[in-house]
Amino acid sequence: MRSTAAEQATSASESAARRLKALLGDAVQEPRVERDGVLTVAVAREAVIAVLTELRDNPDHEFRVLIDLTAVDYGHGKRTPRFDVVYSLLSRRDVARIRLAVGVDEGDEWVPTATSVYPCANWLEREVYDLMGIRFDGHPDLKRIELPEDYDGHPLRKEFPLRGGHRQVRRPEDPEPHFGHRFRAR
Amino acid sequence: MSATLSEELQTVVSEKETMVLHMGPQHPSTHGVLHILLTLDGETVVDAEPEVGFLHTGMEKLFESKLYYQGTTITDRMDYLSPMTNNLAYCLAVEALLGVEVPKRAQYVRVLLSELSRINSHLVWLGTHALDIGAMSMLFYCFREREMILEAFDAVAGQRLNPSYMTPGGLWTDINEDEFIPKVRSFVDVLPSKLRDYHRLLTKNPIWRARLKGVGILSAEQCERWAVTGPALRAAGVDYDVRKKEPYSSYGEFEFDVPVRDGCDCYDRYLNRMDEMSESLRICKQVLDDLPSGRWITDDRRVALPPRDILHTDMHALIHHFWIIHNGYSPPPGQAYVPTEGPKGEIGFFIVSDGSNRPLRVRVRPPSFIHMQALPQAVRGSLVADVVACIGSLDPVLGEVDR
Repeated sequence: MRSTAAEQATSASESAARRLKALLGDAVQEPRVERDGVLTVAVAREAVIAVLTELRDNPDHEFRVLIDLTAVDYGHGKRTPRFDVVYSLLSRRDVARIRLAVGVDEGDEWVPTATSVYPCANWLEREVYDLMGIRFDGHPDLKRIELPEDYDGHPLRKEFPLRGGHRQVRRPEDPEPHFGHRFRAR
Repeated sequence: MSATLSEELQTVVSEKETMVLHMGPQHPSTHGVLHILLTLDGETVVDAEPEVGFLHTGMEKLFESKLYYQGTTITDRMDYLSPMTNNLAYCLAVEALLGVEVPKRAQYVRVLLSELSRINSHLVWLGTHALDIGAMSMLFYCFREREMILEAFDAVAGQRLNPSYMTPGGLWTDINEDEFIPKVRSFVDVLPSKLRDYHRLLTKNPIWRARLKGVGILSAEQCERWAVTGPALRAAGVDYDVRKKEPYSSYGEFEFDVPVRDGCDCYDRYLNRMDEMSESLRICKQVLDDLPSGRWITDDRRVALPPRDILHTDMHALIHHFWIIHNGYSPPPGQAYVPTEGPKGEIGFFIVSDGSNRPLRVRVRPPSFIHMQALPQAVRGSLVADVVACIGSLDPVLGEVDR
């Protein structure tokens, strides 16, 4: 299913992994090629800005585009650390992609901002803050982006109900809706 | 009265006062509910701050409560002008997680439907962009052509706007060759002359050129910093199209060119999209001429429903059908992101599976959202009218911006 271009991309990613390990040593952990053929590495929070800068500027890699910045919530008590902040980088020159996963613990939800390395991280980090509640230290303007600025709660977290926090959606005097039980998330 | 000016008078005299203007969220030219806070010095834009979220419906959370095959219906509603490209991006990611092969026939039909969706999206873009600039008739011409695509979608999937026709593993059902193929063939025959008409109306039109040339400059370096992809990137001289560089779904087997220009302005983005429509027609013709026969969905029985004709007589087929519809399938734990070239730019779904039958996390990489962040860079120093031209030429769809 993967074409030659993708195979080349995978091997470019794997050689990037070897060079990364050589350059950054322990800052880059658990390199693995995920099911889409993309090299994914775990990076410690303290090292993420250095790693991003290295990947962007080193002429061996040239991952000059931040394709996506997002977060994954594994659920309270399901995994330690509970959250992963995931950075997806693209090297147009080598047609290669790489993913960094920064583990974030529950109760200690912050990560340094990547806006100094990739300006487009600005809105992407705001969205992660808005929907997941992870703060980005040093962000120029960390405020909600999708939801109203006075909203309470972070909807993409696993404990947030699918139908919404009832404080926002219903007034206290509204009757309990009859269909509530049918829309239970797993 | 004191010998020195009061504080307020001093401010007025020493600094130019700027005016803050709300553009939107209800506005005919923002292509949806987009709010832009414009700081103006007279008619010149000093700063533009887009505010999004008016169409936010929590789609990424919805995926987590649905089975994998049910997720396709949500993907239609994001970039609703180009539903099949979203379907395809989602299905490719799920197929990467599952490790299933898609048969050739399904891959070719997927390419055909993606290119029809691309033309669909570009026709709406052209009609609304021209409408915003003032060439109102274009809207009617483009929607007249688009009607043929919508009828083709209706023939193949039963729905015009939100077909949800693809499913992880292939297509939901085989194409209805008697109805669908003739509709696509007649559309492919009709559109080239219409595109020539659009070119005659707009491309050398002095008003069109005056409104678009040199407006909304986004250089290649800015595109890189702000992760701009798609026709806007290719108007800045960067030759990167995911269909060519990282081919998926048999795109490598088709001959087509990718328009690249280096004017970095709205005019070159316009020309790029016009050429992309012609190239999409080329791909559609090649698919129609070479469409292989065979299965429309993978043979993998964990994913594919049993054939409908045996459901009435075979108990096990009935149970199998019920099991997949009711319980879905469970990809092994892992992550997948398969980039695709949508009409707006690179779109992909980052799906994390925890081994259960519902995804742990589905993240849409939304090109329109990312391009809205680049809008201020393109309009600083322009006039208010240029903001309208720029929004149109970046082609956002608010369903994708806000999800």
